[in-house]
This record gives sequence, structure tokens and C-alpha cells, in this order.
Amino acid sequence: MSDFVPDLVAACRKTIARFEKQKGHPHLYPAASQALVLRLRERFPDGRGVLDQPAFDEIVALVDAGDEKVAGLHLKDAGRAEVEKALIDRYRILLRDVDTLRVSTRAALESKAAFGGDEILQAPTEAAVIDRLAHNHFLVFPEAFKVFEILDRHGVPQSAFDDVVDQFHFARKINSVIADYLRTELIQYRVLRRKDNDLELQRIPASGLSYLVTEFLLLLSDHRVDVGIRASDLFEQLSPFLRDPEASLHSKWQDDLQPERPLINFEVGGTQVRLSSESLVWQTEQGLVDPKTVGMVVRRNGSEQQLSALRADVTRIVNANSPRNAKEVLAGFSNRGR
Amino acid sequence: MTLISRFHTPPFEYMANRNNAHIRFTPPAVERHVGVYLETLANACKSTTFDPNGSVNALIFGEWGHGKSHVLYRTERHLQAAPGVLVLTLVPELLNPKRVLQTAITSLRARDSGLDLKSLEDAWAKVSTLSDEDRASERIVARAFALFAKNLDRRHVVLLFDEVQTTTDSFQGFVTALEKEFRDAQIVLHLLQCHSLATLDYALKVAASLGPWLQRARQIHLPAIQLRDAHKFFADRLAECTTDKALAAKLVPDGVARTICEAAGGNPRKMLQYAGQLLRSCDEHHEEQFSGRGVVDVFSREAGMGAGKRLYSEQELRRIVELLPQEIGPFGVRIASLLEKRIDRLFGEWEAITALEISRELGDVAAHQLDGLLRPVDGLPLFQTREDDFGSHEYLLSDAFRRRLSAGFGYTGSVDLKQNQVDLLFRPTELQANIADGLRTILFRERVATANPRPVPLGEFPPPAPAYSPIPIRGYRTTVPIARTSFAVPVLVTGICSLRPPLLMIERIVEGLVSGEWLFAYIFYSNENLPWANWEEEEEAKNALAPLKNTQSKIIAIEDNDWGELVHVSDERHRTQPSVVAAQFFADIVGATRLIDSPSEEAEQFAVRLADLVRTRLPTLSTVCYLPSDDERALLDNNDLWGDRRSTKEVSLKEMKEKTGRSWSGRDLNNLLDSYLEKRKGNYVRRPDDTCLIYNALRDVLEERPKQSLSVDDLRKEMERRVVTAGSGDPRDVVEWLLRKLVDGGVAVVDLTQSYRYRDVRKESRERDQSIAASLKELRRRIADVQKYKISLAEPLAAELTTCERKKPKHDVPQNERLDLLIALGQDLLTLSNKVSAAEARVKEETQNVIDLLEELLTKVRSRRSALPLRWQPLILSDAQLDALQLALSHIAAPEGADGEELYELVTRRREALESTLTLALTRVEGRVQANGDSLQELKNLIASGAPFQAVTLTVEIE
Repeated sequence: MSDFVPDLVAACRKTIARFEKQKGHPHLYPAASQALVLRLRERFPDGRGVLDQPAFDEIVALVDAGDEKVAGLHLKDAGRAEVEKALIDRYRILLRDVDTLRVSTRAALESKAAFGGDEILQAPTEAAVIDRLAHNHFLVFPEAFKVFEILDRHGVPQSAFDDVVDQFHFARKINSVIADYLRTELIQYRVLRRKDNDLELQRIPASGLSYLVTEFLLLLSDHRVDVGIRASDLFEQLSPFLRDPEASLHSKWQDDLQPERPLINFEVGGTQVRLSSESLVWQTEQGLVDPKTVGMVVRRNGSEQQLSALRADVTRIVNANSPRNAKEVLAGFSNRGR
Repeated sequence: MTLISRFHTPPFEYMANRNNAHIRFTPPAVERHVGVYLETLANACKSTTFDPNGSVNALIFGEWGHGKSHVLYRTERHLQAAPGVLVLTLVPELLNPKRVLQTAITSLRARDSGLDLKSLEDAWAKVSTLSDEDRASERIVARAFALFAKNLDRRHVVLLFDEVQTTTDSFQGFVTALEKEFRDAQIVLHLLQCHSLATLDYALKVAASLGPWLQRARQIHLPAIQLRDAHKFFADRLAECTTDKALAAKLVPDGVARTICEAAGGNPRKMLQYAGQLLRSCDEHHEEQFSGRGVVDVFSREAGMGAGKRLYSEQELRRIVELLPQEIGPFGVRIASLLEKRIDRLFGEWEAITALEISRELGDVAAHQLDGLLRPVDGLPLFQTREDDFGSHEYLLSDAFRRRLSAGFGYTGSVDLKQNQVDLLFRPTELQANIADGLRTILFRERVATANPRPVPLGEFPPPAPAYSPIPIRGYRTTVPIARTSFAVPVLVTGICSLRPPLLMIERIVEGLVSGEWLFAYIFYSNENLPWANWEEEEEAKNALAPLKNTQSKIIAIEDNDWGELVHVSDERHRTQPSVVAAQFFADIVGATRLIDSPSEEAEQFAVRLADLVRTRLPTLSTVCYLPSDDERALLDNNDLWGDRRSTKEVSLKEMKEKTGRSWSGRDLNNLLDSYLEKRKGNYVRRPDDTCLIYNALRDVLEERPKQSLSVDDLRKEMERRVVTAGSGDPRDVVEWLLRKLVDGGVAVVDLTQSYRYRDVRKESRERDQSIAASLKELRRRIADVQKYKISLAEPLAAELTTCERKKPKHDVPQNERLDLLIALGQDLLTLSNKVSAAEARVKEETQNVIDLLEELLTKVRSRRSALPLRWQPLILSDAQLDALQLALSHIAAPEGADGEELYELVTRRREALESTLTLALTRVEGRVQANGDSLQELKNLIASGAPFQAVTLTVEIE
């Protein structure tokens, strides 16, 4: 059982290091990012292509000014620069070569669960483009997973976002500005929607679903892997988030993530579901599992030495940020208790 | 060819019989359960040897029309070819031995089975004269059945009891007697009972009367059909009745199936009855498929729930159509027209219309105008929206409007409350996780929980039979807000009904409380036979709860008395049956899991009331002490703002901003109320340190171990055992902050290793009081002694002593300050003591000088005298005079009998007198006394002077 723990710890540390490298959560101008991707899609319908900086600037200018079909977003200079950064440095839909920009592929991205630029541009519909961006958004800004802690399909007042302020999640502290960005971005990506004065979950991309499924399976199994969990229990946990969890989990949702092997396995006629250790390691490496959750798994299955390496990484980041929930986050890595 | 003629057997036959026993159950889970039971029973019946533990028993329960008889016929059919098996189906009026026997004889005679009924008839002759309640019949009837089977040479007997409407307390006795007699006859007895359980109190009675047998029996519940299964229910049935698979699949479209299911309250028999009528209507109209029109036609004629009500009410539609223009205006006219035109499909076929299509239907209205469809009319939303798989909006009738249009049979969404209630009475362990799930939904939905609750495994119930897997016990961890503050604390929520608290569950909860995973645990609990308080008194409970001793974290049980009012009891007699009320309450909780998808007014009201109940039990600032952040601690320490520690200065938010450089809101400061601040008319006053629970806990820890030095971490650990804390501050930092206050307040002392020790102010003050009193007395004495010898030295010392005496603090001064004053006074007295010592040394030195001088004089006198011839010595200075001088000298150091100035004068006088006496004695022994013509003196001087003389001439005149 404990053989997989070193791999898991290594995967988690690698992910933490990756997110540490990408500091902060900038203003992404999600509407502009979407508009820009849609323009690129027109330009590269087959998802492949290279363009030079002036050509790219031209497209950005189009997004800014609009044309006879689509209204402009009237970005200021700073906004244009931010959108460019979001698309290239964060979402990595385009990759920068020496003088040119080329459309990325999944293989070129750090998270293999993310759609490559080519897949996003080739999405069958514009709605699918947005869904794929939403999927990648969680992988690039994993603090967005925190949203599942504060709302579900039933909806909560918009002020619920205040509850996540100054909280640490995944690898970042969510300050009030980031909380505001998150709300806007997730609405723009149609993950959330406004209903009267409330916000409710509208749709969950595969990355979000994977995060929830893994988290609930581990909670139900008391952070053990390779154990059978009653499928009905998992469906029950997911029901606040999905209209029909059973149908959703039997759909092709894993196709978006392209895992090496199925993330979860249904067995005993579909009445039982199992999360394998290999799947957990793979998901962790792709940035789909909260380090705190990984900490709990290591604490349950590994040694103090294995846990301490992970704890040191997280403690360093947490202490540097002084979030409100520091105690709770670090408790997940404590060698005391469970 | 008519539609009906295309079925080889009537497709919607709603009474179970042997011919349709093969039809599959819906939902598939029930079919699976029944299938497993039948296979197990058939396998057991294959055994040709007697196995006393080989019985396969089952209890089938469900409401009227849910398929109990169907199970019975299926069982009969399944075993019909099994050799060596006798299957008897019994439908007694009363479940007592006498009536069971009577029913068996009647049934066997009716079947004209040709079997020899003598043993049964003989038994009937014996019991027919006995009353129904007579327990004597149990053994007679049981033996008769066993003998009957033995005579038939059957190794297995399957007794099937159908439609058992009433039971008696003695039935368990009859079952025991049956089992014994069959065991003695070496025949395996298999029992199957079907119970209607129409009322909960009856279910409870059945559970009580079956006793331990129930635990050994498979329990199969036949639930109401859920909306999502409605189409499958019809399609499966139709597929068994026709060879035309396409017809079977399409005859009852999904929307129509749902409408039928909704109207029938999920009751399969009613669904079949309605479907039968729709089939005839369809046939009459030469249609191939049930349609909304047919549904509206049939439902308009069918009686609904309530006197004079129909399953579809045209009047309700008319009312809405008329109100639409009045409430929504011109757009309402269009909606009314749409409703009139499409109500058959919208209602009967559960039609969902795409945004594009409905926009066209309403006259090409703009997308934003479609929101008007969602506006309520007559207080009722007419439409609701949902998204299709491609993210487009669809519009369909709202649930509330559907209920208004159709007085159906109490469909509760996808929740079968009755099923839940019976399950809670029969299989409480299996419902535990559902109770927890329901609590999760209610608490988050009603915003009692600020974070989406996460499941926590709390162990497992032991499996009821080897074939079953263990049943998980579940709780949810979430955070709940502290009233009037902006911070929340983690808690665990769970529930158990009619069960003894499982030890593993309690141990896990306690473990979480001790480790701080959750600060409080709430258990919704009901057990008629073991109230929580009684359980807590048991040894097992005491051991399990032992780690919580001396801690503030606790398990809070919410019991029947707390939530009794939340349960709507249709029959007030049930109030006296706590188990029944509890089953209703917990069933409502379980039903809440479907609040998102199938909200009902009753369920929502229940959720609101339950949430209100929980809110009254949530922790407050008086039970949870807030850990202030760095900024907040700096604010609290700002003496420029608040004044000194004893000040009760009122400070405004504006002043806080001025003094701290940042703005503070009332919301920010709410967290600090109670322990650190007090609010007075919009302003704030800093509270004394000892109003803070943490401060007091730290002081108590130190006080309890007065001789121990404790590190910050030790103190923190101990504090966390005693006080429930939460907040944004780092606990260690807060503990250090408060320890500094304890030190400043004189309650603790800190050493160089940053360890803290208690300082007992009262004791220390008392000791210092005593020591100061003793010092003062001693100093007074010593200064007086000094004064004996040298008043000039004693005077300033005495003045200082008076000052010190005046410094002695009064008892109305605060303890800490008084101790400080005592310590300072002690220092002063020490200084004074040193000064007195110096004076004493000086007095001693001076005294010694005088004594030395006097002794020198005396020595000279002695030496001079001893130099005289012995015979002259008494003449010059007698022995007595010399002794007197010696004695006077020895007394000069410690005169007695006087004090103060008088003493000083006496001593001085004596010293001077002695000095002159000695000087005089010296002149005498040296022969220097003034003779003044005194011849004798001259003679003495001559002798004493030692001058040589040969003769002395004495002239004596005699008168």
C-alpha cells in the first residue's frame, strides 16, 4: 500500500513547485480572453498555426475595437497587455517562440489534463470553446476549486464569496481581489450563474468533476485508496453539484482529461466505485488534487518522513501568506491524530 | 387491428395473479433484491439433508398496490417445480395461530389438492374452541403443520403470509413454536410475510411482534415508483405483454409516464389503472401512443385526492388564464394563449419547450422578455427553466403549477417518505448515512453551515447477515458561524434513530474533538429505550467519553424533546409513541436530500424550522474564545487609545483609526466582544484581562502547578484542552501575548528560558505583610539600641523607619499593585536595615573604644596598685573599690531598666562617672591626689608614688 506514497509525494511537490512559480492571480479579463480565443479560432480553424507578434497584436486590436459582427471590448493598454499575458503565460493557448507565437498542444503543457490550444480552437461550437477554457481555468488557477466549498446547485448569496477571502486553497491565498476575480471568471466561463441575488453552479467542467470525485472518494474511504466505495454514496455526495451524478459519471467526462487509465473504476455491476493509487498519483501530478488532501492520504498511508517533506513545502507557503485558515490547512499535514 | 388486440395479455392488469407473476419489478434494485431472495430460497430448498440453520426468511413490506402479492406469486411460481418442497400461501385475517390454521385448511380445501388434511383438521378441533389470544394454540397449531409436512414427506416447507393487516403480540411466540416443531420433525421451515404497514404505529407493532425473527429475515421494501423510473416501469411491463417491441417502447412516452406517476403518487397499482384507461382512450381515438390530450381527458374524469377533486382541473387552468393579463399585462395574454394551446402537452407530456420555440410561439419575443414566463401569477410560478445538454434553455411547467392543476396522490417528489419512515423503524442502521446526508443538505441550504459539509466516515455497523457488506456510519464536518461575529468554527453533525450509540462512532467523534478536527459534535438522537443521558451513565459511554473530561469540547445530543414540535403528526395518538414520531422526524431529514431537485413546501418548511433549531444550539462567544490576529492584538495593547489598564475609557471607531492608522468596522470588532471589548452605545471599552477565557485558563494552569515552570507550548496545549478557541490569530502568539499580560499583572513570572511560573499574589502578599511587620519591629528595636549609645545616629534612622511605616499599603489597593508596593517597601526596609547595621557597627566601634579606654585605665589602676607593697595596697585603693570598678565596667555595655532618651542619658552618665572614677582611682594609685593639708593623704600619696623613704615621722596630737 505504501509503495505509491513516494510517487504521490513527489507528484504533489512537483505540482506545488509549479504553482509557486506562477505567482498570483492576475486580472484575466475573461470576456476578452474568450473573445480573443474565438478570433484565433476563426484564424486557425484546424487548430494549428503560427503567427508573428504584429499579427497577434492585430487580433488583440480587433477584440479591442470590434468589427461589424462583434462589438469591441474597449480594453485599455494595460488590459491588452494583461489579456496577452493571460493567453500566453497562463492559459498557454499560444506558446512564444523566438519571433513568433504558435498554437500549443496538450503535450506541450505542464498539466496533461488540460486542453491544448489546438483542442480549444477546434472545439465544435463556441459554447464548447468556453467550456474548454473553463476546464483549463481550474487547472491553471486551482484556487478556483474552492468554489465547491461555498456553493452548489441550490445557490447561495453572492456574499458567500466573502467567506473564502484570506483563505488558503491548493497553493494560493485568496485575497479579496482574487475572490472578486474568481467570481467574475467563473460566471464568464458559465461555471456559475446568477439567479436573482444568488449564485448557483451551472455546469462543472471535467477538471472540477475530477476534483470533486476524488475528494469525495477519499473522504468516504477515510483517505484510503484502492478500496471499494458504494457508488450510491458517491452519487449522493455529488448530487448537490450535479443534477444526475450517475449519468454524469457514466458519461465520457474523462475524455477531456485524457488520463493514462480510467480515473475511477466501477465494479460489482456498477454498485461500487474504486479510486486506484495510480489514478491518484496521476491526478495529483496534473494539479487536480488539493495538496491538503494529498497530505491526509500520506498521513493515512505513509510515514512521518514522507509527510514531513510535503509539510515543509506547504508550511513555507502558508507561513508566507498568513491565511485565516492556516491552522486548518496545516492540520492536514500534522503528524498528530489521524 | 385494435391497439389492445396487439397485446397477448392485458398489459395494465393491476391485480397480481399467477399469470403475470413473471413481470419484473421497478426499480431494478427491487427486482434484484427479490431475485437474490428467490435464488437463495431455491438453493436452500435443494438441500435434501436437514440443516437447522438453513431457513431463508423474508419480510416484504410496502403500501397497498406496491406489489406484495406479486412477490408472493413470484415465489410460488419459482418453487412450483422444486421437489420435496411444500409451499403454502396463507392470507389470515388475524396473524394468530388459530386463524392461520383455519386459513390453511380453507385454502387447501379450495385448491382441492388431494392432500391429507387430517393432522390439520384434528388440530382445528382442538383450537376452534379456544379464543384467538389463547397461547395454548401456538404449540398445537405448530405441531399440526409439522406433522402435516412430515406426512407428506417434505424436507422444506415455505409458508407465505400475505396481506397481514393485523398482528398480535404473541405472533413471535407462534413463530418460535413453529420453528421448534419443524426442527424436531427435521423439516426446514421458510417463512415469508407480506405486511402493508399502512401506518407507522402498525409498522412499529409488527417490528415488536416479530422481535429477533425480523433481524434474521431479509427485508425487502417495495417502494413507490420514482418519476425517473416511470417510463421503464411501463416499458418493462409492456414488453412482457406483446411481441411488438417498438410498441412496448413507445406506447407510454416518458413525459406521459411521469405525469401518470406523479398523479398516482408513485403507486404502481394506480399507475396501471390510469394507464389502462389511457389505453382504452387511445384505442378509441385510433392512436398508437399515449398523448397529453389523452392524459388531460382521462384525468379530467378521474377522481383525485380530496372530495370532488379531479386529477386534472380545467378550472384551475381557467383561473390562471384569466389572471395572466391582469397580473402581467399584454405579455400575459400571449402566455395565456400559449397555455391554452399547449396545456395538454405541457401538462400531460411534461413537455419542455426550447427558448427559441417558445419565443416563436409567443410572437417572436426577445430573449430577455422570456424572463416574464418566470414571473408568478396568483402567487405561483407557472414555468421553470432548465438547461439541455448543449447549454440551451428549455421552459416547462413549474412543479407548483402542476400541483395546482392536478390533485394527485401526494407525490413527494423523488422522496418516498413512508418508505423512509418504515425503514427507520425496521432498518435504522441502513438509514443512518441518509440521515447524515439530509442534515448536510438542510444545514448548507439554510446557511447554518458556512462551508459545504464534507462527509466523515464514523465507522461501520456490523452487517445484519453475512451476505451483506458492512453499513457505513457517516457524519459531516462543516463550519458554523459564531453569532454576531465574522468567524466560524468546525463542527461535526450526524444523527442516529432508534439505535444504541455505536461505540466506534463515538470514539471517532471524541478523537476528532480532542484533535480539534471539530470543536463540537451535534448528534440528532432518538432512542425510546435509551435516552442519551442514560447512555452517558453507562460504563461503556464513560470510558468512550473519558478523553473529553476537563475539556470544553463536547457532544451535543439533540433529542426528541428538542425537535418534537417540528414533526407534524397526522394522528395525535402517535405523540405517545416516540419511535413513530422519531421515524417521521428522521424520515423528513432523509427526504431533505432531494430538496434541490424536488422541493416541496412541506420539506422546505421543515428545513427552515430544523435550521432554526440548530441555530439555537450553536456555540457563542461565551463558549468559544476568539484568538485575535496580530492587528487586533496591537489594537488591544494600544494604551494611547484605551488609557491605562484600569481605565474604562470609551473609544470610537474614528479614534481607533486615528491611533492605529487603519480603519476598523463594527463587524471587525464583533469578534473581540465579550473577551476583549465591550460595546457601549456605539463606542468600545477595553475589558479587564481576566474577562478573557484564555487568560483565565492560563492563570489556572499556572496556579495549579505553582512549583512548575511551564513552556509556552505546554501552556498552549493545556489551554486548548480547557478552552474552545477559534479565530484568525495564531494560538501560540495569542498565548504568549496573554502570558505577558499575566507577567505584567504580577500573576506569573518568566525566567530566562522563557518558562512561566505562577506567582500567588495573595499568598505572597500575606507572607510579605508578615515579613514586613517583623522587619519593622526588628528595625525599631535595633534603632532603639543604636539610640542608647548615639542618638545622633539613631534619629535619621528612626525618621526613615517612620516613612516606611507610612508606606505600608492599605488592603483596599488591588492585589497586584499592593504586592508591588509591598515588594518596594521590602526593598526600602532592606536598605534601612543596612543603614541600621552600619549605625550599629559604628555604635559598637565607638562603645568598644570607650570600653577599651576604660579598661586601659582600669588596667593601669590595677598595675599601679599591684606595684605597691601588699600591705599598702588596701590603704591606697581597697579591694572592694577595685571590684566595684570592674563590675561597673562590665555593665557599661548593656544597661537595663530604661529606654529612649532616658537610657541614653543614663548610659552617658554612667560612662562618664566610671571614667572619672577610674581617673580618680588612677590618681590615687599614682599618688597624685590633692592632699590640701591632709597629712594622711600626703602619706598615701607618698606611699603610692613609690618614692623611696627610710622613715616616716608621725606627729600625733592628742587633745
